[in-house]
Formats: sequence, structure tokens, C-alpha cells
Amino acid sequence: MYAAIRIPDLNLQACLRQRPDTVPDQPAAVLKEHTRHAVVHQANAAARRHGVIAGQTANQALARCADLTLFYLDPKADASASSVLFGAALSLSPSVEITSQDLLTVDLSGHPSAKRTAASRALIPLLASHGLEARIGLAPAPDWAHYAAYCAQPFLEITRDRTAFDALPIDAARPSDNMLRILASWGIRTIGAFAGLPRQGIGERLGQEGLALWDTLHSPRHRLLKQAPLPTVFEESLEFDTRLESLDALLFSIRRILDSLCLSLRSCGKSARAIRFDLTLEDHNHYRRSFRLPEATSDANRLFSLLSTHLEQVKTDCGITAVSIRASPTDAHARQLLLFQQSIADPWKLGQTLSELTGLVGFDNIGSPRLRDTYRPDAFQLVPLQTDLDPVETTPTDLPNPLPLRRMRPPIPIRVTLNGKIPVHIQSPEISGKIRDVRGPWLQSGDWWDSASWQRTEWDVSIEEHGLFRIFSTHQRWFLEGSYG
Amino acid sequence: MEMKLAIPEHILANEDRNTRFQEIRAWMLGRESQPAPAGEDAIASGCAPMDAQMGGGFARGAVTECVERQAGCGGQHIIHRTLHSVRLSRKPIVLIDACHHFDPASAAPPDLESLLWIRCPKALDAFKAADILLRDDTFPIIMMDLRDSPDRMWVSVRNEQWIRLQRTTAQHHCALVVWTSSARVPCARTRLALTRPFSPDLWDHHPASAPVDQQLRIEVLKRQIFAGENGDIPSVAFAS
Repeated sequence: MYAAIRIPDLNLQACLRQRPDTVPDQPAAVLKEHTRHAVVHQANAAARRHGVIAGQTANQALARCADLTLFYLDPKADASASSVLFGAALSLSPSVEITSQDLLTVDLSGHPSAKRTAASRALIPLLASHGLEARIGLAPAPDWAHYAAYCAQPFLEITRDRTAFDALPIDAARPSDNMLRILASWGIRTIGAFAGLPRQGIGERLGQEGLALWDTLHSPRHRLLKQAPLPTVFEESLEFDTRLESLDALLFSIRRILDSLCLSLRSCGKSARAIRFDLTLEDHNHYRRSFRLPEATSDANRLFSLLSTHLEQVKTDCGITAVSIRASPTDAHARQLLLFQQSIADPWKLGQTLSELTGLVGFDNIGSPRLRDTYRPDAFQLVPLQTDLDPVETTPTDLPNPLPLRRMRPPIPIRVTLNGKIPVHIQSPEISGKIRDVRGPWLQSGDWWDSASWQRTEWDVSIEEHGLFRIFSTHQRWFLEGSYG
Repeated sequence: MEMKLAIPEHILANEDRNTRFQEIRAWMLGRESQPAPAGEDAIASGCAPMDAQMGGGFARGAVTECVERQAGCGGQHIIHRTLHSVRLSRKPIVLIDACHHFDPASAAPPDLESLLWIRCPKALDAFKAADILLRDDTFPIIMMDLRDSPDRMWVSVRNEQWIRLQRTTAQHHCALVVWTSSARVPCARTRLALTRPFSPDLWDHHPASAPVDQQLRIEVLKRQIFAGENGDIPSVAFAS
């Protein structure tokens, strides 16, 4: 058994699903190219009722329907819709053929007969939730399934009786242009009329092609599907005709993208472990952010709440003209805690909180600190807080420093009086006094091999009535680095 | 606001109002010396003298204010010991650092793994950050280091902000520890002060055996005697 999934007027539906303000039953058409004399490529049922048909110029179409909404072909929107269609088809079976941009064929061999009808039918509401109106046909042969998909309203299953698609236009059988012209001259316009012709006469007049089509219509013929490879890159983008200036409109588009991405991920048995987010601004600058997810997921709701929380804190200087989201896939359920590991109770809630905090204090000011592999003072980096807490092994080297430094950032310039080479008094707006005890000097230097070389002399000093401090000199200047304890 | 006070019946039965008030006050002062319950309701700082003063650790569901009037009295030592103690219990901890004083190099590297360090570009952002974190329920303890915050910040901090934090802390059963240079938190359940800077003798000891805890001088400035349901602020509090 085979299923064919067809999206009528895919180019038009792809454009309409990206518009948050689309009204149901609104006349709409898509034009073939960006020229003055562009002609209508596809029109929806509402537009056709007003007399708008493919091949008319934009002016002719508007003359017939003043309320007509016109779009230009948008390859990115088409790709997004095709991706959704492919993801939906993969949820039925891994054997999927991309027969044409708007038609996929799925091999349902091995599907329990009791469930395949229900599973196929379930794709219709699924695709509708992604803004696509689908037609699905089930038949014992791929070509019959295609015909069934053309006839379906919106679902049709054919077992042996081909009369169900007798009324289909002959174009649905996709004959060559030459044969189509000959058939038109005979007055043959439907599949039923063609199938009613005698086989021998077809062979004599139309040759092998005619015979093959006649045989296909009279008995289901199996063929191997050209199985489409699974996607390896999960990225979707949208370009807007007019710049977006409100968060609501942007979130609508992001939701559409995430729904589509997550459907593709789930269909391939993958989850996103990180997402990269790119907004193109009107001044051609970009706002880019990468999010490492607390846990790999293919749940669009969670990703959406993460992004929307972050975007609420973002302000851009100008409107947004495009948005792109890329997911880094990982195998679903790849995460497995070790026996003694424990995880934060709700990593997703934490992720949302961190996203909110990032908006408040900025990316550079939040994270878990890690020391850099250098002797340079105050060299650290901030990394995302890990949600899996490893078991603790207490060893003597593991203990915290009993006299930790409380660092001044930046170090405070001070004046130091020396006795010989030893500091005896310091003076600064914050702390001044006689040095009671001193340890040092400790000479430090590093990175001498490049332009960022540094060297300094450190002293630990005890200042009367003030406590313990670290001071250092570099390039003949003295600084207070911090206090101990 | 309904308060539930377990005041003994014989005190309440006293008909003379002034005597009754005196007896209630004496009863409360007697309770003051009893430390708060430890265990699930407290997060140990890992610093023995500090935990002893607090009755086991920083109380959950309450605000603890630690005042360090001058640098080097042990505040940073206690923060680092708390990081270590919390990591041993395999829980995450937050440090909201208003003036960017924390030094990661002074901490044991494994202790940093469970630390979320938030540096606030504006000191006032610390309040917003604490509010957001308290509602998350992930962190059992949140430390706000407001020492050395500029005076102009304190001018714009209103009591309502503290009360809001205190209520959120109580609702989410989290320990909020606020480090200040002078007493600033009106609704702190416990207020401690570190009063004496460390002496240079500590330099002469091996780091692992330095008697730092012995040099800590901790003074209890305030210990709230009771708290109402849902963390309501009691009408009576005593300061020594």
C-alpha cells in the first residue's frame, strides 16, 4: 500500500502560512516572478470564484478581484513548507519519495492494515496545524495513490476500483506535452475517457508511452520509490516583505519556524541540543545568539518559551527583515545520567530563568566561572551552568583557600612609600595607613612571546586597623588588587 | 494579618495589660537565645562559628543579613566556605555580585561548577536578579553581595523592595543571604556582623590548617523571634 500526500497550490499556501494576518477564505494568488508583467502562478479557491486563474497578469487578476492579495514566489517559504511536508511524511514511514515539490509518496509496506488508514488521516490535522491544507490518497500502487490524492477531499482510499478517479483531468496522470496535445485534439480530457479507449488503438497511435499509461490505469503497478535522504541540516529562515516592528509578529514567525523544525527533528528521531538564532535587521546588521539547551529536546513549546523570554529583553535599533533558526541535532534520548549523578529538578525552567537574567545583565555577566589555563591574574571565563551535578569526591586539594581574595575591579591606583625596596606606607582614597607586616615580593610575568605580555611584582601587606591586602606594582605604578578574607 | 504565636496560656491569661506585655517581652527574650532549627530548614555555611551563631546555617525561607563594615573581616572566607559546603551537598548556588568582587581563582575549582555567578552592571539590578531567581525554585541559597555598593544606590532602594524579596523568599523556601557594609535590610530575620579584620599571623600557617575560623569575630545584631505564616513580617522584633 502507498500513500500520496499532496499540498494543492503549495507555493500559495507556503506564502499564506507565514502571514499572521491571513483571513480564512481571503482571495489570494501568487505571481511567478518579480517583474511588471508577472503572471498568476497559483490562485486559491476564493480567488478562482472571482475569475482569477493561472496565466493572468497581475492587473487582469486585480481587475477581476479588487480584494485579491498578491504574493511573489518565495523559495524560502516553499522550502519551509516542503520541509514540514517531508517531516509529516516521515512520521508514517522512513521510505518517502519526493515525487514533486507538492507531492510525496510514502511506502506503507509493513504498516498494519488496521492502523495505516488512521495514521494517514492523522496527517491532515497535523499539517493543518502547520498552516498547510493537505490531500491524502491511499492506493495499492504509487501512481494510483497520486490519482487518489488528486481526487481526495481531503482523504481517499482506493483498493481495486479505479473508477474513483475517472473524473480526474488527464493532466493528473502527467503525460508528456506531445501526448497531451494529441489527446486534447481527440477530445480526451479525463482519465476515465482515456482508460475507456482500446489498448491496441492506443499502442498504434501513441506508442510505448500511451501503452504504459493505459496499463497503469487498468492495473496497479508497483515500482521502487526513489527514497529521499534524511535531512542533516535543520535550519529554517523567513524573509519579510515589510520590516517587523512588533514582538508579536516576530514571535508568530518564530513559532512557525520552530513548529516546522521540531517536526523535522522528531521525524528523523533527533532532538536539538543547541539552537542558533539570527535576526537580520533593516540596516543589514545581524542580531545573533546561540543557546545551549539545558536538555536536548524537540518540543516546540519549550524552545518557543526560551526564545520568547529572551526576545522580550531585546531591543533593536531598527526593524527586522528576516529571521533564521538553526538547530544542532543530537540523537533523541542520548542523555543518560550516571548512577551517582543528579540533575537540577527542572532544567527547562532554569533555562528560561537564565534567559531572563541574561536579558537583564547581559551575556558577559552571567555564568559559571572557570579558570583559564594561564598565570595571568584574574583570567577566567564564564560558561553555562551545568545542570547535571557530578558526585563529589572530597580530597585535601579540594578545599577552598582559607584566605580568599576580594578583588577590586579594576585595581585601585595607590601611592606607596618604600623603605629601600619594601613598602611601608600606602595612601589611597579608600585605604591609607602604615604597613604593619609584609610578605613578598612575588615576581610574576607571562605571555612574553606576544604583544599582550605582562609582568608585575606582588606584595601581601597588613595595614594597621584595616586588615590584609594584596598590592602590586607594574610599569612603575602601584595598585591595590584586593583584600584578603 | 493573622499571626500564630505560641505564647503560653498563663501569660495571656494575665489581666493586667502592662504586666502581660512585660511577661510577653521576657518570654520572647528567653526565646531569642534559642537557635533556629537546623537540618532541612537551614543551609550550613561550612564555617563552624557562623553556623553556631545561626543555629545550623542560613535559615531557609528567610533573609539573613551579614554586615562586614570593613574589608577583610572574613566575609569572603564565609562565602567561599558556603560554596564548598553547598557543593558537597550537590546543590547549585547563586552569587549576585553587585560590585564584581568575587575572585574565582580563590575558590577550589570544583566548587565553581555548582556556582552561578551574576555580575550586575548596575547595583540595583541585583534586586531584580534576586527576585527572578527566587521564583525559579532551583537554588536553595542565593547570596547577594552588596558590599561597597554606592550610596546613591541605597538612596533608591525602598523598604518595599526588601519586603517583596522577603515574602518571595518565604514562599519559595529559599535562603537569601545579603552581604552589606552596614545594616540595611529591615526585614532580615537574622543580622550578623563581622567585626574584626584578620591578622597577618594567618600567613604563617599552612593554608589547610590556618586558624581562620578562630579569628572570626561574629556579633549577632538582630535575631527575629518568630515569623508568621507565609513569612509574614512580625510586628515585634528585637535588636541587641
